[in-house]
Amino acid sequence: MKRLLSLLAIMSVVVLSALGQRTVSGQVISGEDNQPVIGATVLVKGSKQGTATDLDGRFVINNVPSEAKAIVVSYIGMVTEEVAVSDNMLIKLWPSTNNLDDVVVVGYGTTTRAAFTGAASVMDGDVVDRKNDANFVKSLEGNVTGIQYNNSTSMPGQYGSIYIRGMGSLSSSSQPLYVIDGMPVNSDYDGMYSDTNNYFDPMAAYNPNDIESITVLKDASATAIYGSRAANGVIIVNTKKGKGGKVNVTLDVKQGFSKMANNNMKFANARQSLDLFAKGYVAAFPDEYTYDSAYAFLRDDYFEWDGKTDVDWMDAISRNAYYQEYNASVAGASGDTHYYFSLGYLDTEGIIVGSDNQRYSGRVNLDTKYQWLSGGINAQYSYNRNNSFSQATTGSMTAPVTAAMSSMTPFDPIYIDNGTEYNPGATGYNPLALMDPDLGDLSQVTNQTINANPWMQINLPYGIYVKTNFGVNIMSQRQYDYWSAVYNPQGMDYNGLGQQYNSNSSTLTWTNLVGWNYTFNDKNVFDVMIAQEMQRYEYRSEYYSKYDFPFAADGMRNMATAGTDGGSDYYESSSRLASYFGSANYSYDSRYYLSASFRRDGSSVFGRNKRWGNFWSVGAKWRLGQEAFMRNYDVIKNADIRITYGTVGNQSLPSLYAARGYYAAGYNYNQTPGMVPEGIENPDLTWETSRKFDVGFDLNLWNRLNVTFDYYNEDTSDALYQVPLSFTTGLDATWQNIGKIRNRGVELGLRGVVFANKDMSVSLFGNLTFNQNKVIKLANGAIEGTYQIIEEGRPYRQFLMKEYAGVDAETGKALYYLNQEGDETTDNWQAAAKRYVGSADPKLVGAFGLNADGYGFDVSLTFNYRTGGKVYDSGHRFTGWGMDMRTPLECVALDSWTPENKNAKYPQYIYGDPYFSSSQQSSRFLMSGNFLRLSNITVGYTLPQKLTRKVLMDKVRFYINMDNVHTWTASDFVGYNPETYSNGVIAWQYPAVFSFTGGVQIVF
Amino acid sequence: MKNNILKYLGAFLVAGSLSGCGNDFLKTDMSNAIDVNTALNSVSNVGNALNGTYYRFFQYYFAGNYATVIGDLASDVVYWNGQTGHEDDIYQFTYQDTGVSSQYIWEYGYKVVDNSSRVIQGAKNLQEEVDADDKVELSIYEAEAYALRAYANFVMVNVFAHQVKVDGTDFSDQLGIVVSDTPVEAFAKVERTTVGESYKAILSDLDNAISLFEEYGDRGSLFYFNLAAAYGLAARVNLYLEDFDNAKKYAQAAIDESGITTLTYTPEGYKALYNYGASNTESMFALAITQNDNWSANSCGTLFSTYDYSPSPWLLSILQPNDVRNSIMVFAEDSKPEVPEFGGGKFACFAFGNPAYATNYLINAPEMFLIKAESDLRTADPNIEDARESLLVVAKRNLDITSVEDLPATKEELLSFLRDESARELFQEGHRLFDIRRWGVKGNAYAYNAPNINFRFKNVDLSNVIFPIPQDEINAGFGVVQTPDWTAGRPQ
Repeated sequence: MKRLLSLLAIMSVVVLSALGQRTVSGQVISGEDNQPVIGATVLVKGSKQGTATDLDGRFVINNVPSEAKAIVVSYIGMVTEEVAVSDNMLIKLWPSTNNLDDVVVVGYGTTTRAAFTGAASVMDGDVVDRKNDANFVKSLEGNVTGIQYNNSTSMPGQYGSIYIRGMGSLSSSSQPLYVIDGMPVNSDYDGMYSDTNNYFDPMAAYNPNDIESITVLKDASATAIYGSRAANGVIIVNTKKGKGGKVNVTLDVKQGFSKMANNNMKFANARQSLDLFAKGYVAAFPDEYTYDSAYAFLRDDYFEWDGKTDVDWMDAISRNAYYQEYNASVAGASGDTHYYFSLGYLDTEGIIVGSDNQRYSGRVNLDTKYQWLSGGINAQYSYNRNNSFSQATTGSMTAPVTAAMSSMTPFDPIYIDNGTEYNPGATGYNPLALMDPDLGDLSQVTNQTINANPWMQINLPYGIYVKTNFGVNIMSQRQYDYWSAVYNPQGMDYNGLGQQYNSNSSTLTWTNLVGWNYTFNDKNVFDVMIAQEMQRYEYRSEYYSKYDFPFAADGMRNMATAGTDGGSDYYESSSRLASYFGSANYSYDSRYYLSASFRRDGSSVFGRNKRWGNFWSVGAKWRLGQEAFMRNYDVIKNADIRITYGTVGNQSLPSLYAARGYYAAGYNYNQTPGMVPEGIENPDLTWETSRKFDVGFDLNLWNRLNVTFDYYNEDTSDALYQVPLSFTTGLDATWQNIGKIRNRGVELGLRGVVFANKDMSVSLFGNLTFNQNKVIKLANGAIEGTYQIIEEGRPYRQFLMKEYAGVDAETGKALYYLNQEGDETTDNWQAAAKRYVGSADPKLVGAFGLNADGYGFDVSLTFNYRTGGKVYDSGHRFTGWGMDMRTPLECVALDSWTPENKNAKYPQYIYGDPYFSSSQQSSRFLMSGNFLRLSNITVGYTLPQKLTRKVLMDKVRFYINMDNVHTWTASDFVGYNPETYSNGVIAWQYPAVFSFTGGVQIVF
Repeated sequence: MKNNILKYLGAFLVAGSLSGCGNDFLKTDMSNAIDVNTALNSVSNVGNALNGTYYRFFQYYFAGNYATVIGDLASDVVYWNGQTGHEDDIYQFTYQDTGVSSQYIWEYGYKVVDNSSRVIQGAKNLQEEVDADDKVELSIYEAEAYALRAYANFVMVNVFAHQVKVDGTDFSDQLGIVVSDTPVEAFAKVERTTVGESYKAILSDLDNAISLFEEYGDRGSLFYFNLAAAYGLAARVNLYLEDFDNAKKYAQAAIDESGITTLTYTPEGYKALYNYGASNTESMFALAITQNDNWSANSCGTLFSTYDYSPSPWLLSILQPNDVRNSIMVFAEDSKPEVPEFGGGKFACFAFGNPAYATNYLINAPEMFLIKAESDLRTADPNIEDARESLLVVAKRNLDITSVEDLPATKEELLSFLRDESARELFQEGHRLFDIRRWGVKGNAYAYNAPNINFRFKNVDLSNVIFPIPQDEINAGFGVVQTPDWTAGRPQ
């Protein structure tokens, strides 16, 4: 600060000695609250002369030529003002509703929204902060058009996939490219097992509080510069940087709780269950049992029920979970050096026992400039500890949710004789024992993520610059799974089993670029860039296990204590990407914009004949609103028309060696080496290429209403898919470029100020994305899976299964439609034909809500919705509806067919389900995935600054956040959460979570 | 000036880095694999590929669990208490073409077949260029590969096709499995052969295995296919084909080659057979499942303990009190008669107490004595006395039986006794369903209501029970067709 003041003093002296020049000074304040705008840019019009406003919003520009008539004042998020030069100027800036001056972070650089020809959505960091979640990605759905987040599990820190403008690849592993501060980062999860849906999300390693903004790039013009990795869109995260003006110290403390969100999974109580089971037993074994004898047998011998115990096991394993988050940051600038430091701590318990997530994070963002040289570094470290359990859709008894639903019954008390000793229940899998904090199972991930990207830029004459950027992204993860020697029946066989899985992935990206920015005659603006990039990705993992834990009963679960070696495994893989690319942008008179880009990528993962691919885009924009003839239309403040076309690629393959034929080692037998054939050589395996077309417009009316509309069509050819092989080949599938798929849709975003005066403003927003996907061409015509089929002319998550047709009122058997079409039914499940019964892809997703500010209060309300998609619960046929004496749903217990209740909703409950009424897959468990959710309520109050200034605080804001307040689902949906895994399937789902937090944010 | 020099030098350095980023940069090596086209270019690599074949064979997807237990689960010797749900679709005969067990048996069975074929091909290719010692080594590898392929095909033809013979009735013209002497190329069209052709291929492989073993010897290890085991498998295959002369011949050859001419007749001794690994002195071929290499929750031991399968009340009822085989019928502490919890039985791994470490004994001497006995009884010219002698070797496990005089005297009575003796002796070895099928007798399955002896399916014809070809194989569309009416043979 001192340095800043002395600089100002020196400058004043110089000014006084100048002749024919003048000094311009004044203050910039916010029109909304009359508070100073700190760090606003003030430039003398038509020159590069200028300054930034100080702590009080004041500015002084010396040596202003006497012919200068006006100054231009700008600030991010506010409307730029051009004001005639006068003495002691007081300039009011108003919040921008059209955001045309917003900086949009695009591929390898930045631009303004006005100059950007592509389709992208920008989300402010404040919106990210409203979500009470470790993972910033979860805040995108609803706030950004075109985004669908597959939030099947609400377990803290766990992975969820995301689609931008629909699923762009047949392979669900294809995810958007994440670029943080200009550096591509690894977003692939890793874990000990491949089928447990139990993975720490690499994106949960980033502190949402550090995020300044998120830009989601969607069309070709925006994404093509990322070439081979951009087919599924690009998510650019820009972290906070120091700004001019004073040093800002921000403290943010947030605490709260979460609990199970509303749902309709109501299980039957003990009496209802036993009644149903007894009926089911009699129905199965009519020769041996009467209702009374079956009831007595089940009560006394099978379940040993005392007649009183009645445990709701889902209730028993769930809890009100504690949430706490602390963030501190320092941001500012000293001379030409800008800095941002932050520290964060997050501790969030899961609502189911045994799940939690902690994160310690730190970030340093620095940049500086000396004459023609500038440089900087953005660096981040986080340490994450995540406790979780299997969420396999095939079910795992050691997972508390599965054990609670499928293993324990209401007849099982939690503890034996009301004491402290856990009741193992009939199966031995008591979920509370399994998750006992001292002696139970563990599945613990510790993840350390390091990002650093030092960069340097040399500015040459004529607007030419040369920049080099070296990005380092390292994810080091340790997963420790422990099977309890005390409470896990399988672990008991080992006297405790410990398994350690360590992996390390590093992505090094070195980018070198030369750029040229130049303006001719104030009207012709050129922005050209050519670049080269190399990327190395390396992955290593090791696994080892030990068992026989001598001190397990004393709570020692550390593998160091285990007595016997249980085997080990090691693996390494690597990939490379070499790229050359360039872009050119030209604009004329801020009215006509043209852009083009080209990228040539070489990737090691493809067949040796097809390693190189070319990607390109062209885009144009006409800012109609700037035309002279539009000036007569007062209503229209801005009108832009955009059109873009281009190609991008997808190289996302789960195996980095998918194109190779090989014998792999490690398949050892009898402690001697063994190898097996694993891959089929495919020298022609190549990129999946998406041709993206987008046409859209941006409209601003009355300076109050913003409308953004896009129509898009994305055709993906050479679609990569793991094509099933005949098992007789010894292999099950191989990667091929097999077809063409299409996503087509519209996005509409509305944001308008419905009321504004000097004291308060209220704005409403709404958005929708209508997306339709279709398989256009497929090499083999169709690929049929267990629940779904990929077939030409159909959506590519098309459900194909036998269609349930209700209950035969006479026999109580389930009915199914016999033929592919028509109304004829059969009670023979086997005979029924499969039918096309809907798709997992929602047709329409979107959000709407309200933001209001006034009298120090700020309120936001967000609803989001989805319609048109189906959800299949593959666990329902075992649990809830199953006929193997697992706890039924109350509705099933009360309304299953009996000779006395022939109009029942559900088929007759017969133990073992000999007629396949429930135990087989059918559309009976396929439900509508439609929902409307009150997803967030945030209310804040900022103390008047005149009050807080007295205690040296610039800002004190108290707030409460509520996430996932209520969900309204379709009438046929029964479950904890209509959101699914990427394939549209759920089972033994971790329930959705309602969270409530309160906090205080203090800025010094 | 200095500034400018520095500036351009910096720019030059950065621009310089733009070069040198081409095809060489894109070459990456695999850390754990070698090219499939040149992989089998040495004797040791053929050995490694064979060991990989054993790995596929011993995985729980195949002989390590599913392929071994399926024959017991779908029969009268096993009880499921219903508390956990594993492979219960087999037990309850509600299996579908999407069933887990049958899918894996098919998938991993063919991995064994494919990998064996590659080893056979690799061994043959190298024969010309190796010295005498290596020739012996390669020939033994080749013999083992033939035997593994025969075993896998035999399991699959029994699971996925009709029993070749049912008490004299021939079903060899029914749809069998896909057999090929060479590895099936990716994307090639394939076709199911008949049951008869499938058996022909199995016999051919066994002939090759046996002649190579006879000429070059074997490794002398319980955990690798050897001559005695090849004879034993040949005895089993011929028994299924009702070629009783060959069945008896090979059973005797297996006994002679292994030197296992008598069995264990004390409770302690019998229990000790199932201590761990090589402890079973009556076995000719077992899997190398150990403390360090085991299938943990997916092991047979877990299935017969934590996953709630146990001997059926009927099986327990036909074990006489003085039968030494009672010694392994140990139940868990919290077991109840109504809801039995088994300790693992043959998979108890008594030495360590962890059923997951127990191995599967796949070809054993007692079965050879039973094959001899059955062959003598069912051959065109029955030999009652030889049959009684052979049967006695096994039946003496019941200490109340001490001589042939304690056994029935007529053929029919002896056959009936043998059927029960097989249940007692071969429990947990996976033969039961196939034995019932081929005998053509009415069988029971899906026991319930323990400790009472009750079966959901009583006196039903199980001879047409056929497991469906996995849906994924049909859907892949390379020519494998589903067995028509496979559901018809499933008891309802």
